[in-house]
Formats: sequence, structure tokens, C-alpha cells
Amino acid sequence: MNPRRKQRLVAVSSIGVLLVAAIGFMLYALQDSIDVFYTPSEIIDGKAKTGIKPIVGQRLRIGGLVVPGSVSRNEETLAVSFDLMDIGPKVTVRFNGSLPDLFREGQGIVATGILQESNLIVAHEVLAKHDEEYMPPELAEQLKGIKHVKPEQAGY
Amino acid sequence: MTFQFDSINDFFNMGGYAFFVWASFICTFLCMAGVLIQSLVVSKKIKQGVQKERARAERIMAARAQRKLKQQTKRKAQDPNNLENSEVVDEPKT
Amino acid sequence: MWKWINSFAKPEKAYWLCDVLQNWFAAVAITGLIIGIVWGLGYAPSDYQQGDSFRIIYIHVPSAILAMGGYVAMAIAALVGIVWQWRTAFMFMVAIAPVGAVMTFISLFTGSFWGKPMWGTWWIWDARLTSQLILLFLYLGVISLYTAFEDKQQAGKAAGVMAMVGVINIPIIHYSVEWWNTLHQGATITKIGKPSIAPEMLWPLLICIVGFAAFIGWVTIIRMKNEIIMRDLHRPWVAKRFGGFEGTENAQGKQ
Repeated sequence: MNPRRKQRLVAVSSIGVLLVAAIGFMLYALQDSIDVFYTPSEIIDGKAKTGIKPIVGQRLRIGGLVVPGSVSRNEETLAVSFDLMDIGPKVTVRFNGSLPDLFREGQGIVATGILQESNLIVAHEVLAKHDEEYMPPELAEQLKGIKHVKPEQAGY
Repeated sequence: MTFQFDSINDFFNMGGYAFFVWASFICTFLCMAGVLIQSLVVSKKIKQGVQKERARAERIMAARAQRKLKQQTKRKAQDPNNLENSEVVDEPKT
Repeated sequence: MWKWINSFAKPEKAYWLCDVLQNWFAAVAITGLIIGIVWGLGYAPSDYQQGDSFRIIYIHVPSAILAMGGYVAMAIAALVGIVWQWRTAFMFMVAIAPVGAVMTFISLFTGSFWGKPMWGTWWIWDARLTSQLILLFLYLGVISLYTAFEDKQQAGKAAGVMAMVGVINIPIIHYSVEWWNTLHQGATITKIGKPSIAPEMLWPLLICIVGFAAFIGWVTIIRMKNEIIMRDLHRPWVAKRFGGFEGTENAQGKQ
């Protein structure tokens, strides 16, 4: 094979590999097959369309809002526990580690971990989700009644 | 519009987020400066290349002109009355 | 009018346009970037929940938006090159590609350094981040396809096809936060309706977007001029421009 054609073949094949890798990543990310995503109500009542509930011992991801008043840190084990809810039923999340700066009551949280009991998740990762609004503190207090305090300062 | 920080130290500290904020801004600056400078460097190299070619072309043309001149003077020296190329002036025109 | 538009298919005319625009883009870029970034870093109020880390918005959002915009411009150039056979269109495409790739990298890097303190992770495979990463791959693919071919006509066509096919990723990136469950939040400014950001925070952001856009234009113009000269190196107009010398024996039209 003449060298120019070979060079072109190498180039096109590496493009092909790149494309396949890209599409592969995309499908992997969107499939939720590794960490299936549940809301608290779906964990208690099952998925809306299929009724599927997660089984105890299963690895999953849960996303919900932190229930006010539910956050507490165990003085001995240093594990923090809080409840998440979306439309009604609550699920407790237990986590041993430092909470993200955006963590607060009412904030959206995505936790990844194992379902230990039907309504308890032991998480190894707790991520905070924030909305698309940006405003100074005075405006937030005025408009939304929110005063954000970092978890360390809030005493969690 | 007021400066949002109480001191320069506070400014660098970025409310505790110094590492993340400054790493982001510095990386951005380096990337943007990098692509700009690289493009300008290539631009300079190309212009230098064009000028070198032009200078080289001028030298070639000059050398050629010199060589032609030498040949002419040489021929004149050998054949001062231009006997080789003499034309018969009064040849009847047909 | 069409005749005037079509005149830009000629490298010499395109070069002239680049010359005219270059310093304007440079001026807007430098002014916009300095004003926008100084304003955003020092004078915009800090966010009620994100504190001063939110100031990364002033480089993350412009670079992310313009990485996408740059790709669309590149894809349009590819279309013009393939359909109307403008050599200059392919030259524009290859000029903007590295700049767009740099912008995409900046958006991913700054996003990562913003996500770690705020979300709690440097990276997550959600639809927004993944599709933006794919955008970087697409840019790199266009660049490498173009450099792989020695015949620049073929190179332009191959890279152009990739540019056009990849443009489907742009609406995917934009709507990813609506179509899928993502950690990345929804749109703050690129949406129908009032921007959900306080005006004192919004103004420096808009100025930064203008500054970044002008910067991309500036660098692309420099790179386009380079590409034009390199491809037309032995044409008489190039020699004339850079020295006033009429040309050498090579100037008899090396295609």
C-alpha cells in the first residue's frame, strides 16, 4: 500500500475509533444502567410506569430535596444522616464524609450508594445540585426567604 | 459599583474558593494567550518565508542579468565590428 | 449582491476582508475581556449560595456558549465549502477549529474546577458534561482529518463532512439539561424568558461573552490569513503584497 494511502487509512481509522468512543461514552452516560436513578417516592412506591422497586443491597442513585429538620450528625461515628423527599415519601440517607458546600435544608441532593433497608441508603457519594438562579444574599433572603449557610457553619 | 472585597487578601482568598477560582482564571488566560501567540508566531514565520523567497528571487534575477551582461561584453570583445551578425544592408527587397 | 458575496471565494479578497476586520476584533476583544473580567472578579456581588466561586461563571459560560457557536460557524463554512466549492470556506473552517477546541477545553476545565467545590465532584457522566466532552472530540476530529490529507481539496471535504455531521451535537448539548436527568442545572440566560440572574451579575457576563467572541474572531482571522498565504504562497498577489516584487519563475501559477 502506498504511504499516502496508508497515512489516510490510519487517520480515518483513528477518527472512527474516536467517534465510536464518543458514542460509547454517550450511551454509557445516558443509560443509567450502572447507577439507576430513583427519586424517594420511586424507592418507596416503585417507578411510575413499571412499578419496579429497587431491591435491598442494590447500588443506586437517589435525587431529592433535603427535608428541613432531618439533618443530624452522629457524635460517635461522625456519620451524618438526612432525609430526602420529592412528592411525599421520605428516604433516609446516611453518609460518612464532608458534605458539599451547597448542602442545606431544601436543597436538591444526588446521593449514590447501597439500599440497606427499604427506606435507608448508605451513601458513598453525596452531591449537591443547584438551580440556575444567581443572586446576591440580600435578594435571596428577600425573594426566596433563603439564607444559605455552609454545612460546617450550620453544624452538620 | 463597589469593590466587593474588604482587602486585597480577601480578593485573593475568594471567600475560601481561591484555589478553584484562580486555577480556572489562570488556565483560561494561558490557553487564550497560548493560541493567540502561536498564531502570531506562525504569521511572522510565513511573512519571513515570503520575504526570503523574494530576496532569493531578486538575487537569482540579478545574477542572471549579470551573467547576460558578461556574455555580451565577452562577445563584443571577440567580435568588435559585429562581423558575425553583419547584415548586408543593400540587399534588394523582394 | 451575489457577485459581491461570491467574490470572497477568492483567497485574495478574503485576505483583504481579514485585514479590514482584524484590528476591530482585537480592540473589542481586549476591551471586552479586561472590562468584563475585572468587573466580574471584583465588582459583581457574590452569590447567596455559591459565594465567590460563582465568579468562574465569567469564563465558564462564555467559553461554553462560544465553543458551541464556533462549531456551528465551522459547520456552516464546511457546508459552503462542499456545496459552493469555496476554498476560502475550508480555510475558515480549519482556522476556527483549534480556537473552538481551546474554548471547549476551557469550558470543561473551568466547569470541573467549579463543580468540585459546588457539586462535590470534578466530573460526572451526565448528559451535559458528556456531550460537551464529545464536542471537544469532534473539534479534534475535524483538525486531525484535515491534517491527515496531503491534498487539501480532499482534506477540506473530509473534515467538512465531519464538521457537518457533528453539528447534531449542538442542540443535544443545549437541551441535555431538559431531556435528561442531569446534575448540571438548566439554562440561566440562553432561554426564552427573563434571565434568572441578578442584573449586577448579568452585565459583566454579557460583556465577557462579547469579549470572548471578539477574541475568537481575532485569532480566527489571524489563522485564516496564515492559511491563505500558505496555500497561495507562490501566487503573484502574495509576492506583490509582501514586497512589491513581481514574482519569480515559480509565480507562473502553482495551484
